[in-house]
Amino acid sequence: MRTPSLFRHSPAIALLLLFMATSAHAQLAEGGARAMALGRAGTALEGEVWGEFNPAAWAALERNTADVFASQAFGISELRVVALAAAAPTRYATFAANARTYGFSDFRETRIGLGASRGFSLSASRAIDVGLSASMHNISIDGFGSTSTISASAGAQVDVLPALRAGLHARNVSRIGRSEDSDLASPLSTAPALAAGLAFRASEHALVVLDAEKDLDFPVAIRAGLEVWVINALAIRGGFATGLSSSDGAPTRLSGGIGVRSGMIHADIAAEYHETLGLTPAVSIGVEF
Amino acid sequence: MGTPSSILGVVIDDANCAVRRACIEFACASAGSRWRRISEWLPSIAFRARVGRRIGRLGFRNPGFVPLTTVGRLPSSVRPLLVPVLCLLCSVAFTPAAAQDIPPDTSQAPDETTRLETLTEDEVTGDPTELLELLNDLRENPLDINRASGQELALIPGLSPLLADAIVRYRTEHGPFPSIPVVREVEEMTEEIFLEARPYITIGEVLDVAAGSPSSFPAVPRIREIANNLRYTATQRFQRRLTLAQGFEGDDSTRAYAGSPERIYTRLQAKYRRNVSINVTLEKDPGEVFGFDGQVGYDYTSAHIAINRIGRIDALVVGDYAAEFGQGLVFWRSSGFGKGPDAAHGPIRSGRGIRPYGSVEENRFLRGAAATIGVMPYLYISAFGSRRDLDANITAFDSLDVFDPDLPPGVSGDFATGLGEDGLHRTDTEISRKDALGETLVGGAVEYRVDADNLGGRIGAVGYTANFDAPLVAGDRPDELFEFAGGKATMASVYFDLRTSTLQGFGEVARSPSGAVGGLVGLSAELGNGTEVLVLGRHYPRDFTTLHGYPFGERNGIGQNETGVYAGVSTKPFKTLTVAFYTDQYRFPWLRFSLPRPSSGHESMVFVEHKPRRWLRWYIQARTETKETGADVLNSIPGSIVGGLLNETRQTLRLQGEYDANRSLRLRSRIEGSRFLTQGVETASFGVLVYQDVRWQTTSWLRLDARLTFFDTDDFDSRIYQYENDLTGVFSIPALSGRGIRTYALATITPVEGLHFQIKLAETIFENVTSVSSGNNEIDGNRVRDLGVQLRYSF
Repeated sequence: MRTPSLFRHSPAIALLLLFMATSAHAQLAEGGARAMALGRAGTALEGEVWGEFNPAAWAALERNTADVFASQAFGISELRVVALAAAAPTRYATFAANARTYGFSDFRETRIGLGASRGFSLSASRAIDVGLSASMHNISIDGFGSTSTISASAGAQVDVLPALRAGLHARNVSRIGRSEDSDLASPLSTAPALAAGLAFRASEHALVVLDAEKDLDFPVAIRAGLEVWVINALAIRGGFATGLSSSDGAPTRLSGGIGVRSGMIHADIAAEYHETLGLTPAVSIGVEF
Repeated sequence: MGTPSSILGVVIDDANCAVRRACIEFACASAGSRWRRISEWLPSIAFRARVGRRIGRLGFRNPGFVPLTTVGRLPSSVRPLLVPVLCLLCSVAFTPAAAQDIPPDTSQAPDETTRLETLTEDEVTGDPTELLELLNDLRENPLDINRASGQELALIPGLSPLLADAIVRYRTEHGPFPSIPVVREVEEMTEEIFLEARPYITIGEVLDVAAGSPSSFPAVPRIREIANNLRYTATQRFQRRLTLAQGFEGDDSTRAYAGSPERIYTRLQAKYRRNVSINVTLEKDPGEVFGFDGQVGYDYTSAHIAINRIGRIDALVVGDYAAEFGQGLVFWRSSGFGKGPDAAHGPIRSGRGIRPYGSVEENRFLRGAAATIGVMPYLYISAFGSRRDLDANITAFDSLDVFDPDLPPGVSGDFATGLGEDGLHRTDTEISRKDALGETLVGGAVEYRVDADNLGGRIGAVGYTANFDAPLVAGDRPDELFEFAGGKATMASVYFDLRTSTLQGFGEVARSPSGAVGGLVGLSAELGNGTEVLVLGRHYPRDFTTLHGYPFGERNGIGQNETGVYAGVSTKPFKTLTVAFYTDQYRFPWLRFSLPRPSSGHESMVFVEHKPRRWLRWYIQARTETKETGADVLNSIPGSIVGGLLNETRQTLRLQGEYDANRSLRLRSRIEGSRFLTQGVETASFGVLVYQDVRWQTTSWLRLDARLTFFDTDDFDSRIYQYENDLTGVFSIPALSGRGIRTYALATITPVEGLHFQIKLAETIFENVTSVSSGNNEIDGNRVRDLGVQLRYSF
């Protein structure tokens, strides 16, 4: 009988277990470098190819878009995330697909997602964007086999005022993979979460985003971000996220980044600083056509 | 192939189906830019299945649907599999497009939610269903703006008594309103108040200048007119917790609850406008027996025949009725709005006198006959008699007890303790209490309705004497020392409610059965520019017991052992901004249950609402309340055998946004936090609640209400209440504590005029628990599901 090679990576495993005990979702860097730089306050962010924080964000995309994203949480190579996302607006809806993987040879988590989003006009001047997405998560551990689960997510975005956009996002409300007995719950289960956010276009060049998310397993998190386009092609971003907790005071994350846009190409760089765990760099590059 | 074919008015392209031997297609009839709008939107909808050459079709036809001749096409580029996705999206958020931004038609979908939510702040001890019923009744029988009295108009949500008087004054000076929108010309009537009040007002066909004037009695309709215009309503409701509680477990002999877990409610009404009402209400609570052993199937039965405002008869009821006079010290039944965002009006009461009763609260109404007659157009006299059985514990008299000092003097037979409050008769103990104590009550009232040039309102006096078949005995705990005791209760009060165009003064002073005198007095003023203030003081001595009253106070409805001052102000600094604030200080001069000393407390609330657009509204509400609670462990005074007191503080902060996407879609989000702090305890407990709510009037005959709530509280103390939409007539405000998700969906279907069918399904899933609730109500597992169904037919 061979020893599971997992033990070769015990420090990384310890970290992984820590994330699984907390929320892998909340700790892993994902959702594109722009949203990360904005403190992940993406619920009301429109035109995002990732749709991670709100699948309704796809509806505002005007062109076919494809992005590639890479990050390395806290500089640990075992927590490197590589992801791809693409979205194609059609006459009837914007369809999107994405894939994400992280881990290393003996441990790998993969997620593949599909979704669609479109806007519906409510009246001559107002519209609502609605999006749905479904993801399949797979986890495989060398020597232990693999398991899969799926989850679904739904969101909506509305321009409540010309300069103010509101977003709503519900994630895995059907509680797929969760069990009454926490020992039987799938390690992959995404905790149900409900988020509401606002995006305020303060001027032509500045965007302020604010989010509140209730993850069933965590205190309410408040996330906020600011994006300023200093020149047409360059944006500077900053953000923070914090958990409102009763006693222990959930950790705060600070983030920042820059974005460059030129013709068909856009690129974003983000860095997120976690109070206890350290720095996470991330980059995404995309093309619009 | 390729030829458009029509399914329910929507053409879809044949090409998709033709390429396969078998396929299923959906077609969406969409309102919107590309596809032609359908007068009533058709929900998702047509299925077509093709197997070889055979084509099967299944459609869901909308009665309000107008067939189309011109239509869009589903492009062949959209793969058949993607079409369902589109349809799903459509069904999530597709609604008829409105040509321009018209505010939602409040006459179609009135919503009292905002006001009712204010009741949820504390444990509701009254009967909010009564309030719901009143509003529902007003909606079904709107008040004629040219005929209703100021007193009647003041019942309308949003209309203060001062504003109601202003309306009456306006029509007296300018003649009757030619149309409803003209009401907006009344001074102080804002667009918002108008929209809020709109569902409850109508305008009569006949314009009668003298109508509604207090100088004459209302007209007497002919019997034939009444008989021909009676409106009959039948309501059948069925509610059940799908997850059975412990009390229903076991066989007949061992089970705690005698009856089945359903709540069954039946009501039959016949009404002529607001003037004649004939009613039967039947109800069985969960756990109560449905049987014919001394009852007519249902556990609770109520009936009345009543007339209202016909000629000299202001009110006449045979059967069950309720009495509401003055500020409710002597007689009141329903709970009012009380403290809340309506800071300058909430606590003010305006007694409606004798009213027929057909609600389901089982203890606080009267049964017999009652009448209010107008002697002169200004002077009304009421007389009423009641004989009914109350729930109580009856202790059989034992001659050995004769020397028991706790017995009231002169007791020589059975005596009663603890009047029932909840009306539940499920267990053996509860059943033995049912209808155990007979009460005979006789009372009367005189009311003078003032209508001078600059002064309006009422002055009156009310009183009753009640005899109990067995004397009531107070408990022997120190805090029960001043509870009502004896076999006979006599209570009387004088009250006034007088208004000028900007000031309203009101009050009531009553003598309780014990001889103690208590009262309430208040002054409300309109300072112009939408600013209103209210100051109200009340003093109910420790031995001031009121058996049928329900006055304003910290402990909703218990007008005893309390002294307090309330001050509220509401103002509109800008057209779109409303700010309201109140503070209430109170003291309980005698002990209360588990409070071994006199105690005190205070409460404040700030409410800020911003309405930047007619369809967009958000508000912040912060509330804090500190009161003392008993602490047996703290015998801080050496040698004292009496426990100490600790301050307990409960705070909530709510942020809510509401967006009317168009006439038929409303989105609402809320985030609310709570904090509970006990003096001397280092860590506070916290709670949070987040919800997303959707109301969607999909078609003229289907309305959907759905909500998703996440809650997470440290303990029961930091629980958070949420008001929920429910079956018409049902009041639902679950207190959520622990951690979990609550969802509900309510569908209201009106297939034909007059027929309402409603179904509500609610589910709460808790995290990390293996059972919910305790005792007989304990449920195994972490899920609680509830189902409610109601059918209501009016003709």
